[in-house]
Amino acid sequence: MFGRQSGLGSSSNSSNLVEFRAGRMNMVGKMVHPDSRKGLVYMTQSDDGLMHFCWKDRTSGKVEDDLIVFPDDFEYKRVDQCKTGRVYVLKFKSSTRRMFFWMQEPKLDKDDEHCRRINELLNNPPSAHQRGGGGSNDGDLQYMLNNMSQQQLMQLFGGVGQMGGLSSLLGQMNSRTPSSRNTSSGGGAGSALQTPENVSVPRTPTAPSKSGSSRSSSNVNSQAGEAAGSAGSSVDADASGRSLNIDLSTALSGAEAINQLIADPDRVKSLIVHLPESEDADADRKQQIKDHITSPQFQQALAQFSNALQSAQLGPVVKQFELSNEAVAAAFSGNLEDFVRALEKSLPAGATMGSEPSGNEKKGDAETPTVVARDENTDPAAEKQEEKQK
Amino acid sequence: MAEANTGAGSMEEPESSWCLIESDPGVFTELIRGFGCTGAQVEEIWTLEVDAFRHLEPIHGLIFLFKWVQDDKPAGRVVHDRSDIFFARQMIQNACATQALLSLLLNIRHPDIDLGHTLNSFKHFCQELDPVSRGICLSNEEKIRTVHNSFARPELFELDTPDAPSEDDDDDVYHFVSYMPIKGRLFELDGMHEGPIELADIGQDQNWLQVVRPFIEARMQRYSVGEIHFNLMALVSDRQRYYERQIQLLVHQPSPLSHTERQAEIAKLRTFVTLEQEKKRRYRQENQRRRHNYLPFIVEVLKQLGETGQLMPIYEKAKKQAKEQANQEQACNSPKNEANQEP
Repeated sequence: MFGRQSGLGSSSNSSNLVEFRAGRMNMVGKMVHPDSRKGLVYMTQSDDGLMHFCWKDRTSGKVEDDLIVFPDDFEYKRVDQCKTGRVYVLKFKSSTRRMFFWMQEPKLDKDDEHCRRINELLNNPPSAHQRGGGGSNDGDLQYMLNNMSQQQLMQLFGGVGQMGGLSSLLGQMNSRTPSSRNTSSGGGAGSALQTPENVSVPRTPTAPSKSGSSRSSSNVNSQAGEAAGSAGSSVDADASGRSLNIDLSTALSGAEAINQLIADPDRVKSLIVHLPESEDADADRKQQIKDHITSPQFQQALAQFSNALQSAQLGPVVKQFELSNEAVAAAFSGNLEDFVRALEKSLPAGATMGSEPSGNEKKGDAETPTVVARDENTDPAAEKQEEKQK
Repeated sequence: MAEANTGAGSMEEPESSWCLIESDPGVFTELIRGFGCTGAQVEEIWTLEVDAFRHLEPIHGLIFLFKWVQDDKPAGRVVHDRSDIFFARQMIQNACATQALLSLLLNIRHPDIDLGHTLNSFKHFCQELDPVSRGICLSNEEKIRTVHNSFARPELFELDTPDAPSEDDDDDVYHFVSYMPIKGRLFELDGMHEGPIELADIGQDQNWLQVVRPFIEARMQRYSVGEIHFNLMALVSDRQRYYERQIQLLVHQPSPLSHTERQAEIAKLRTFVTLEQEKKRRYRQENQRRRHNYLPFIVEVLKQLGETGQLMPIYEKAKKQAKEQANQEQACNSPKNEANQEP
């Protein structure tokens, strides 16, 4: 077991049970983007008998991921949906966490073997006592586990790899059957490992709200749960820890932001058409717009919009509006930041669709605020305005 | 493949066709009007000190909204033999609010309140049926359902469900229970039980609110320990009508008050009338907003904020808030978990 490792030539680390060149992938929103760095996925067994799944940057030598893995916690498999590359996912069984890797081995003939090997080691690690000869380390492991404080145990199970806290910890404990414990080092480990179950779990505070009147929008953990369920064409992604659910309404709750907009009568006109007619025919339109923006109904709708955009499902919807291609693409990929950036580059009101989004072409109108294309703008006046707005 | 409403509802037709609505005095008041019932409105009350809402009396019933706890044992005797009490089993979770309202309205006999055609027909139609059948009739009662659904927020866009279940999970847990005096006894009307629950007798000269108070307080106590949110609403007679009636009386009837006093009183009542009119106008406005599809407006606002360079700062601010929230939640969930995950 020890001697068997994939031949990798001079770079192989003899204490690694398996290793292969692979890059990491990062979650941005719900999409997964490859990290272009050269890396190494490997598994090793530490002196205490625990199995580690690691990724290191081959260029810097820095180990960036080091997860302690227990049998039945993980599954490592190929991502079939990704037809273009050799992408694999390390799935945490008790949570929605995922880590993605893309193969960097020049030849793909060993991909399957590596995958099998990883799974084998994940779920049937070598017994501790085979390591380094001498007496069994089973006793050592058991001793260690029995003597860890609850905090240490929690750190071991809950903190490593950001498994999402106690609730997933307990879920993981409950799903593990005693028999699977026995295949790994230390049959007695089962009883020791049950200790966390006795830990009183602080009830995840749910925000009670008026029935129906507010939607929970920024609970990252619940988003994680739902993210796992969505079977879009994009690679399944984990929301807790690697990405945030950003709710624009939290930053647009006051009307100050739109004061600049409603100072311009043309803008008022283009905004008011999207609002229901007021009962009062003489209603001040500017005030109307302000009232709508500060209303809980609008706030909730905006929160819903933010949420939905980040779940990469608003592509078709956004397409129906006259926004730039970049904005539409950002909506399709569920990237709110790109969407915002695209809107900042977009044409001012009145310009025609289809022209270059260079930002400074207008119908000779010098007074309307210039478009701020952040990276390209060299106009000092516009820059000054931008500075003012910050 | 889009789901309009709760995922759980897709199995039964009636379940999926009742929408979740807010529990808000404005919504309830407009619901009543939508049903065709006149003379009643709903006010929120925050304290059970009887003196605090003397000005709202007569209070015909109370609606208590709370997080539903499965183990709720009836606080009194469940009654099966009162055919004079209108009681329907709740068959649809989303119809909760309407059910609570109707459990009061259909049992009220007060000169101020006129149920109107729709509710009277419904009541008459179900009179001889058992609670379960009544519940089923209600869930199929199209007119009532349509009014109820008109208060739901519009679907801004159709999505594959990731968002819907999480918010519905929260909402599903809320429940309404009604309390009212019926023929000298205090009843609790909860569609999740098998029948009306008789709580206590109400003495001849007793204000029923005094009698109901300990029961509601006991509930509040139980839920506030778990920090569970609840609120309380009162079904009262239409305030504007009441004040206008008072004005008429003062104007046309002899009164022990002096002329000045009378004028002062009339002026005060006129102010109250104006306040009520204001309130109604506000409710209508809120309902208009509830029904409005904000999507085009949102896109236009975001677009214009982008054009004026304000959108990125707003986004950054929101992002910061989200990070702080996530860190807080991490801290709550796992004591030892370092918040080291931000990219």
